[in-house]
Amino acid sequence: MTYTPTLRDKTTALSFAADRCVILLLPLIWSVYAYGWRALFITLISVIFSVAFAFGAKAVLKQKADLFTLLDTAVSGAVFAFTLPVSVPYYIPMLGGVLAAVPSLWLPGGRKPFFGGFFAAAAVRTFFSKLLSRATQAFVYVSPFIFNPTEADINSFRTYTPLQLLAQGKVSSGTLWDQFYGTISGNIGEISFMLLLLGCIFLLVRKKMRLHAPVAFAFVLCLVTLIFPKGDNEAIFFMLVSLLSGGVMLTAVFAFSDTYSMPVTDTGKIAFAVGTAALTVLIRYLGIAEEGVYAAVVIMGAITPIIDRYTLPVAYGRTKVKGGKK
Amino acid sequence: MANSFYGGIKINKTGLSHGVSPKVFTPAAVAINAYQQAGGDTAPCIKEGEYVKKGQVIAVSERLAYLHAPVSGTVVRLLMKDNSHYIVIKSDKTETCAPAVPFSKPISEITPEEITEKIRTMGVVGTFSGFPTHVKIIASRGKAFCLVINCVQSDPYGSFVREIVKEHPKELVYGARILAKAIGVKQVIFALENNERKSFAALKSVIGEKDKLISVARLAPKYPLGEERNLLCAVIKKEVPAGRATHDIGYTVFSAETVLRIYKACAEGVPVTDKYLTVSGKKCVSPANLIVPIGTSLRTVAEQCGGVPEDALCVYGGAVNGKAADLENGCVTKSTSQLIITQPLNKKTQACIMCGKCITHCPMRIAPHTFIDGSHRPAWAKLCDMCGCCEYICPSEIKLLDIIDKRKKEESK
Ligand code: SF4
Ligand code: SF4
Repeated sequence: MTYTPTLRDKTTALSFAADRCVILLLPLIWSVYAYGWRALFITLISVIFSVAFAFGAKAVLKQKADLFTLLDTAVSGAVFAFTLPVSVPYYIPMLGGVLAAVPSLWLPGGRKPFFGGFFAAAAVRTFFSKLLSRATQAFVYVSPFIFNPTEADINSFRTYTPLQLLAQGKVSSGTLWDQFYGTISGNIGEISFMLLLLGCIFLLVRKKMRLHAPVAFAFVLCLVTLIFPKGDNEAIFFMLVSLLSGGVMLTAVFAFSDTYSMPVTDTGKIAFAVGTAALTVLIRYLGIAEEGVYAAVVIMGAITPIIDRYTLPVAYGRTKVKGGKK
Repeated sequence: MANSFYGGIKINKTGLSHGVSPKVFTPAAVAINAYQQAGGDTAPCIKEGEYVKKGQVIAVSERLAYLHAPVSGTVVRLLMKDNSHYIVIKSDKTETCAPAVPFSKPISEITPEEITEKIRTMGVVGTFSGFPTHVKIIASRGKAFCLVINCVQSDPYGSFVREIVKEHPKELVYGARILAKAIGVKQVIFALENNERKSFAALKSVIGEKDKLISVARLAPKYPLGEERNLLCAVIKKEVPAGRATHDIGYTVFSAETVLRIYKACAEGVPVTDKYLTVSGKKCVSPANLIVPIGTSLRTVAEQCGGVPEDALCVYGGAVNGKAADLENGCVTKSTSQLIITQPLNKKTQACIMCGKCITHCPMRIAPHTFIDGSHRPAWAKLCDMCGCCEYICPSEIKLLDIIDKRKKEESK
């Protein structure tokens, strides 16, 4: 005889994907305000290519594709677009969108090896690092109708993002609030720390993410940057610039809420976050890439099955109750 | 939070408002399954056509608790079905009772062995588990130093335990003293949910201020607090080592209804002939707590509360870990505790999304999602007590209980 529970929690799997979609909107609207319609175009292209590729590939592979797949790949595509500067040629989001959808082919029923958006970001950054470092000033719009903006098109308002300055050893302390609000040059969806933080809070309140990973991530990132400062300014500014800039918050919000590529247990999530933070600083520190966090997430994603295996919970009656939700 | 345990789920009590007192009724006929204790069958000691009085012994056993006639009337049929005896009695509606057989001497002079034997012959078994009470007493004797009385009903629909505590505090305290004597414990703790103010006050006033033996613990309500191991976690902050029983760490848990039965058996000499149960649910016309003679068919019980609408589903057991009830053939046993009449859930099961919610809510701190692909640790299947928290919380609506049940069966092979 089978069990027939009569009550269940209202949360559905779909709402996990849907909530992540919802929090995309605020940074997207902001980016349109800060960078013009081109930001929206890039995001849309990425999302469309991501979703189309996922559905196409799933049709070929005879896998099930449903609304969940749609939302999930849309988030991956959009997050990839968020990691791009607005001056990129349109073929970058096309390529990246496709890459962002690749991990979803392990679904359903499996585990995604990586978070799609960051996988694409890390891959594209490896091969097109030049193109992706052409930062432009905020509130100066690159025309949305140029397929491939040339150097000449953007030369007059080129600038450096705080992260790029950081890579050159320059720590600017005057732009911290600009970084927080998002009124400084940067990548499309990453510029506003505040809006992403709001999204993070939304997910936490809706119980779509647990506090553990983001907190551990921020904590370790601050700690490591404080202990090993770099650049021409005080350690605290190095820490703040590292924390506020680039994909740090994007990671905390979108990578850590991607249940398919995160470890399942709380301990595992903390381990993942700690590893990501340490790797991020390491990569930034060594100057391998300006933006270390994408590669860090992908590397940690690759070892997630191992984390999972070693962080299974300690069952009742095996040890004393430790921490946890008592 | 203090006075609670790891994991679990908070469900609003959707069932009865407090204060519905148990209703009594007599059915036209009862069919008693003689195999209703965990541990085996009992042998009928009456013949077809014989007239029995209410409370008369109808089935006996060497080791197990006896069965008594729940109604007075004629035994119409004795039959074997699925390896167990059934005794069908047609009620004569007169409720003629067999004479009560209380102890002839005062309680203080009775030995623990006599109490235990009395409990056995009066047919007392565990309220939820169906485990014979005297066996548990004997197992705990010498090992347990503390008796915990489980007055908690954490199931969102159930409420009869609360009613018992509110209505019979005197009997419970008295029963607890008898039971304490039978086991030989030094301490008795009544475990109560902390929102049960009335019951708390009632118990307190009966126990008195200066009692060294008995105390009352108030616990944060959460499902499944009523389960023995979770209850111990909440009351004494200790866990039972894997594969051991609660008395191995010095505690033994009895439920409030069992204690009430013990009181009735020892002080009044009245055997167990009926069962408290809750009939409730979203589609139930008039939810109620009932006192039902053992062996009443589930359909009769449901009809007492307004019947079962066409599209409704009848569930036997807990709200989140119950099974579909067999209304036609199912009968009330000594461990039936609730009947839920509700609409089906219609789950749309999807693949596991690895959210980890089942882990954070599992009171046994195991990883339920690993049962899906069978990558669980071998000891886990045994540890799981089928509380249903994981299935309740799972956003992918995976039927985890069925899966775990399957794994349990695979492993016990
Ligand atoms: S695995 Fe078992 S003990 Fe854990 S929540 Fe699920 S049913 Fe309850
Ligand atoms: S709650 Fe359900 S979806 Fe989430 S990890 Fe457990 S089984 Fe998977």
